[in-house]
Amino acid sequence: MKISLKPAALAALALVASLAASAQTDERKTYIVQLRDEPAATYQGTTAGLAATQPAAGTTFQKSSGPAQAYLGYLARQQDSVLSIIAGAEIVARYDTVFNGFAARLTEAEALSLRSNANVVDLFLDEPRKVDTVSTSQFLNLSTPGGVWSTLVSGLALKGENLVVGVIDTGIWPESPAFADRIDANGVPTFDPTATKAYAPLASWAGACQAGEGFDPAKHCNNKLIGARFYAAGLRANGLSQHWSEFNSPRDSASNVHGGHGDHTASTAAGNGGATAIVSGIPMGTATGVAPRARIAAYKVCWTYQTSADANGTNGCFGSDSVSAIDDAVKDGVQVINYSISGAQTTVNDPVEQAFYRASLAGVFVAASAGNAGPANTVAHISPWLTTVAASSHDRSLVADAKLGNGAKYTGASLNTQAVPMAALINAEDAGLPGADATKLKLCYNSPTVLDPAKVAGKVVVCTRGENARVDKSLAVANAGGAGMVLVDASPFGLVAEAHSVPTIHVSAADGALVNSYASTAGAMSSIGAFYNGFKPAPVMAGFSSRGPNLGDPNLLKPDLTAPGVDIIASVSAPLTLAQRNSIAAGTLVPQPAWASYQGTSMSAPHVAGLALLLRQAHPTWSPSAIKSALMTTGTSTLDDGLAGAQNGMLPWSQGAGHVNPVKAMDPGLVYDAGKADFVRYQCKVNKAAVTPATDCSTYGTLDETYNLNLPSITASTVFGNVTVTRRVTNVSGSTATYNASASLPGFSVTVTPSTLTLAPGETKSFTVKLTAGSAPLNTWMFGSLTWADSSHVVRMPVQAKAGRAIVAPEQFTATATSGSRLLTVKTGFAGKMGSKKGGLKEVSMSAPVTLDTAEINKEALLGICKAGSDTANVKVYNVNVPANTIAARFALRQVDVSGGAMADHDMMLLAPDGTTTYSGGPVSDEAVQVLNPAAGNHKVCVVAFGGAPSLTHSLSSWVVAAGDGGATFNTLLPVQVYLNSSATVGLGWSGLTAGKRYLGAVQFLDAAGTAQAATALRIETNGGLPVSMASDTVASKVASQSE
Amino acid sequence: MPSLWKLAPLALAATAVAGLAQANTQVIDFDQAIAGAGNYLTGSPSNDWLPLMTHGDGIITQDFYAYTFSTKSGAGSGANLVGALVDGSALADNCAFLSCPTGNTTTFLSALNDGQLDIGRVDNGKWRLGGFSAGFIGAAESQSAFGSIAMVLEVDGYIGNTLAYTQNFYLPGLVGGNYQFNSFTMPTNLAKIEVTEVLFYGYACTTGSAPASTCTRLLDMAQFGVDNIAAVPEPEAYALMLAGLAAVGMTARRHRIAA
Repeated sequence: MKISLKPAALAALALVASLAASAQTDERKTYIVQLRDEPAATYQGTTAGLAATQPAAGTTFQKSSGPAQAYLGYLARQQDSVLSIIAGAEIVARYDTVFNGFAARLTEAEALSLRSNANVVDLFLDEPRKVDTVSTSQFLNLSTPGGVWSTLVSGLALKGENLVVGVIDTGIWPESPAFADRIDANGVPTFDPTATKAYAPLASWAGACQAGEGFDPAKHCNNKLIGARFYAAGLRANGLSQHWSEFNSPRDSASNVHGGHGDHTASTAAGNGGATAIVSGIPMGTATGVAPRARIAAYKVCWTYQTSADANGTNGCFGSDSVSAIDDAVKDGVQVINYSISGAQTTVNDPVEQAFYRASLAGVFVAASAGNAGPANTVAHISPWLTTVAASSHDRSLVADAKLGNGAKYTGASLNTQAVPMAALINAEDAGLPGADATKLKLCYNSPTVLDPAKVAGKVVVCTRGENARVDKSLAVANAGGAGMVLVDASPFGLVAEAHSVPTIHVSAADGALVNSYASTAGAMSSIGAFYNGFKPAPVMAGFSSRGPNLGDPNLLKPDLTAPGVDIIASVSAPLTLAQRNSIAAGTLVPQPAWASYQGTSMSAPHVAGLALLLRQAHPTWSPSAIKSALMTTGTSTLDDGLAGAQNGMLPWSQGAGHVNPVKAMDPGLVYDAGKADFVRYQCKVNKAAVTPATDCSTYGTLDETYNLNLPSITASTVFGNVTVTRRVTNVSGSTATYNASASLPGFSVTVTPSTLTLAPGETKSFTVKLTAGSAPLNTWMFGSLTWADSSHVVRMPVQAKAGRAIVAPEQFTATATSGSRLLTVKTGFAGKMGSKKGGLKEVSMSAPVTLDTAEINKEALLGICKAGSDTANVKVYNVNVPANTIAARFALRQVDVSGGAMADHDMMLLAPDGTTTYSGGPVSDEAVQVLNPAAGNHKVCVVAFGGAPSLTHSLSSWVVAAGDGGATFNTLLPVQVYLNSSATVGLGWSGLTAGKRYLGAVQFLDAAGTAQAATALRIETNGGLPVSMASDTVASKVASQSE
Repeated sequence: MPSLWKLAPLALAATAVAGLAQANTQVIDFDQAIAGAGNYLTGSPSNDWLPLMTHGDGIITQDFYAYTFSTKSGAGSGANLVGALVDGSALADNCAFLSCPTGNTTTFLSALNDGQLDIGRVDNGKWRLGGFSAGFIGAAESQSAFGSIAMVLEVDGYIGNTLAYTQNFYLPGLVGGNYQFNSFTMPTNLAKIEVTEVLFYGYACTTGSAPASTCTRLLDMAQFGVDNIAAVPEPEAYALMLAGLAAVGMTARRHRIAA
């Protein structure tokens, strides 16, 4: 078992307790405060005198209606009353539609006073999240003859007509023809004011277009780009200022810095078709969005801001701004939201996830990106009410061939337009200046200069991927007079076709090894051809796509499905100089449109947002869950990506239910629908403290087991003997149909009851699926499927289950009192006597302060340094001897133990003796890695100073707790006996702790044979109950651009 | 004592009514059991882990003792968890990984892992049980196993080692997403019987659904909380008896006068 948690991603426990010893400060931080009354999008008229405001199926929220105005006024008065408690605090934002509450700059004392207020449900620390990054319309069978776009519904082609997608992102570049509302004589989108209008005003639209730097609503909004708003209150409240490349307006920032992302996602979802995309001066064909007739509303929440460490600044998206944007988007009347921004990995109790919950109940479909930290188990956005999208390839392949002097030919990704005739070939390793750093040489660093012009001139150089940007490598070759570059991949990134400073071909690691080998022989030669549009087998999962299982609820599948997210060509902002930026801001320069090829789950999510628009047009009354079900049950498997074990792309942890198949999704036959009752029951189970109104748990009840949530997937994380899962399906076809079930799961027997269902149109029926463990190995996920089929539909869902260990215990719990006790349920898969071993409670040990220079070293690069085992200027390697019988080891950094201010960013990694890693890469310095029952031996804890200031000083917090270790008084009380397929209660008690300290204790639970089967860590911080960092462990930001 | 219990249809007539509130009734509420020094039972094998209670642990509160114990072989004092005092105002802490009953924000006594409670007067005097409140305690993730009745609670009154009565009560399943505390009143005839100690133990109804549930005490799932035990102590009983005797005497005297 391994977990990597933030210091207190840790449940209500830590939030309620004593505060006596907490060292309160007057420092203000931004908190998002959730209030008790229901927000307007889901209000159902439960308060006397105030009518319901939740929209009916097929309609959008009507903010100007009488009931909505009355209820919004009521919420405002309620908020005013709570705000009066913190009269001195700056209010950053107020929310009322999908989230009831506000964001404010609070001292700890003010936060505590709010926490004790009866109208306050919860407080969340506001932290920056990051953005995750054309021929897919053909690949998806949209534009092909007989494809989705040729279908007519009510006389309109199925292209998203009269629907709106809200894109919450980095802003919009209004000069892109993707966002024009006129067409020329050839049907190509244009801004020519004399051209034909292609769109009429949308009567139902209640949104707005906000003016700002370089953004004039009269010029830049139209009947295609119908909304544009920007939200920077959260950014500013956190003391950050915009980078020069930014515009204080809905306009996206310059693409040569961090801009471009929002245009890319918006144009992918709903950009006009017809304009020719030009990438690096090369025409790439016509680009089009997935729902090319839908309207676009841009909500800018991601800002490039200045940091002292990097002249290019960094780009981040604060939750307080995102909630404002979601609030407005639902008010404005969007039907679909795209959210290509990182998110919570371990909880649904997050303001953005909760805002999406309310949005979904108001009928708004939400597509969110799974994250780019794959192939590790890092999937984000784990809420069941939204659709979490993984990324895979499509079949366009921009390639060129390198022909070697030995006759071998290698095909790799390339945008090379100038063929290089046969020239001498040299490995970078052999082309260095005297004394050049060997690592930097192999990677072809441009700065410092490592390549020797005397050795490189006129030759093709073989460089290796990693650390520095890919285009930096070709620049180094160009500066040294080289003729071309063969770039050798480092798994698992995948190949990238892009413009380079010299003719370049990017080959796989395997091919690269052969090129390396040949290049080291005397007289080696190579040519590089011009690129051509090859065909490649697709879809294949992208290595970077974050994998499951769900880290917050192992009984709920995430990601949900996959869509194209590799080499996606779409609109971006233009690259700008400061002078150009200033002219645009002043309105004196009209910039050019631009396109670029990006990859990421950021790119796959808007494909699904676009498909949701098409489905919404075809089936106006379908709920977001029904749309998601249609996309999932008709999905098809991706192709083998060659990765081993549970990371393999063909398994649900990678592809979810599979790759989207739009033609089939239009007519799925059956859907697994879910609505308010289902999600309330789910939250009463996993997130009860945050359910508002709390009476909902009485009204709707509590879901018995989360695997019984009515999703188009079945995931059972612990099967002792057997489990019975319930589902219900609704016939969404126009005729009565009889479906037969077939199901299989290796190592289990699967029984579907009833095995035949006959459903009238619109009828819903339930069935059960009994999974009985047979030959399945213990504690190992097995993967299968369940299919309902009639004569014309195949409704398939993935089924995955794990035969349980003999003991399952909570991985950890937290407390804040100096003495106390806890009762825990342990699940038991054997009969007999359970044993235990314990260690601790031990106080933290702090390392001596260590000062490091900052460098944006990502997870893969950190792993390399960590493996090498020596300190560098940016990385401190702590060697920790973990003795045998260790039950828990925990390593943490806290913002308070770090110099460099609120934005000081450290990341850390734990490298076990067997090579497994646990990574914590949050946005600031609240990092923690924790492992239970670790292997004995030397573990390396590697801390990197990532950014926020030129240099940072940290002290590492460590605990290593072995069985028998002493410490403060701590005891474990076990049941007399335990039973097969049952559960029992264990008591843990402690006493005599000192206030103001941090302790770790751990207990190991043994089966009848004395073998450790589970462990529970007990973390006690006797220093107060304020919320601490809930930042996810995502590293999406740092590989999002995939430029390395 | 049976380890399996078949719920009969008639058993559904559970007697969940308002608590007994008689004058002179002492209500044992356990609210002083944790905090006060000297509340631990003299000679109790292990009270090191209060509020957690192991096999054979006891507490003293309001002139009454309460033992927790297990009838399972191999039960060890100081090692095996069979009960706990639970602060009902802090269930989010105490019961974060357990489904404790709501509707009681004071401290209550619980039996865990099929454990039993034994309650009597410290002076071993007689008393009468009028009623109590109780609620089922479920595991963190096994709520699906329980229907409308989660547990049969058996209450046995003893005089010394002799069983004086047995009465069953029915603890309901989930209501509004939680198990609940309910008040229970002893049937009038049993409330009159003087005993020296009362045993509480449960049968968890894990399979089937009422009225055909199978309820068992062999899965560690029979767990419950008890509070507000209405006890009518011996002195009052003596007073009543003396009053009765006086009445008899008067009658006799009257008879004698008449004669």
